[in-house]
Amino acid sequence: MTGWSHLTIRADRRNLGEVFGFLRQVLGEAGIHERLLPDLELAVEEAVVNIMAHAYPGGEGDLVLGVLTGPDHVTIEIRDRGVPFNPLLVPEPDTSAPLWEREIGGLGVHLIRSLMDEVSYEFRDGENILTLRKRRD
Amino acid sequence: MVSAPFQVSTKQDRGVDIILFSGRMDANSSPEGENAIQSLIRSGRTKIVVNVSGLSYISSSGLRVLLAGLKQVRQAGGDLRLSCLQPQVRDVITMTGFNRIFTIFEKEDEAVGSFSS
Repeated sequence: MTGWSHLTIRADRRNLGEVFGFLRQVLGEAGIHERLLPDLELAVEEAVVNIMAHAYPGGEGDLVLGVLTGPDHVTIEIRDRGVPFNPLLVPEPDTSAPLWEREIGGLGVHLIRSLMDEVSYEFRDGENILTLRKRRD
Repeated sequence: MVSAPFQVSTKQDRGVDIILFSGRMDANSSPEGENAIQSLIRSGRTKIVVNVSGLSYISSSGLRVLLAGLKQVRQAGGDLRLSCLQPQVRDVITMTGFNRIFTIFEKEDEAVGSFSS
């Protein structure tokens, strides 16, 4: 098992490209199958874009992306020191609602849950910590 | 993995406006797609096909753009139909139940033709 790889960036949407670049590089070097990349990229985008949009209202702050590639799982940890926010408390959207009742809110979190095998959240020492796990097989 | 930049082009066929999206539609590139759809709607165009044959990736920001466009054109008596979904886009559309609210075609030609049938 290799160790964690980390990227620390300003929580600004202009840095989204850097997030993708880092993720692809780490997963590529670890030999993660390409077919897993879209799911991991999408879950990470939804999580970090949320932080970029809401974690630091009226101010600036960082987010830290950590990736650990184990023999069976890829684990991704996303940390920020912004407003405490548990995305797992976002209500599940009704994906069978008719058009006029559709709202876009909650879709990002719904996608994260659907794409990952495990999602957990904790607020510890002033940090939001969202952990995503995906099986490699 | 090569990440193709997001690109938009538009054309017309049998009175239907076709928007082609290609590359990656993420939170940064979605506004460009939104501009393309919104400029058609502002011009009073309400029969729109979004051909996503070249789109390899979409996130919720792209879905938001499609949903907003669909609501507007339906309200105006038109429709926004999708064609040529690639695997990642198809998966995301299904996962979010958007396949229940969008009319989806395998081919652009079928999507365009559906407006006159």
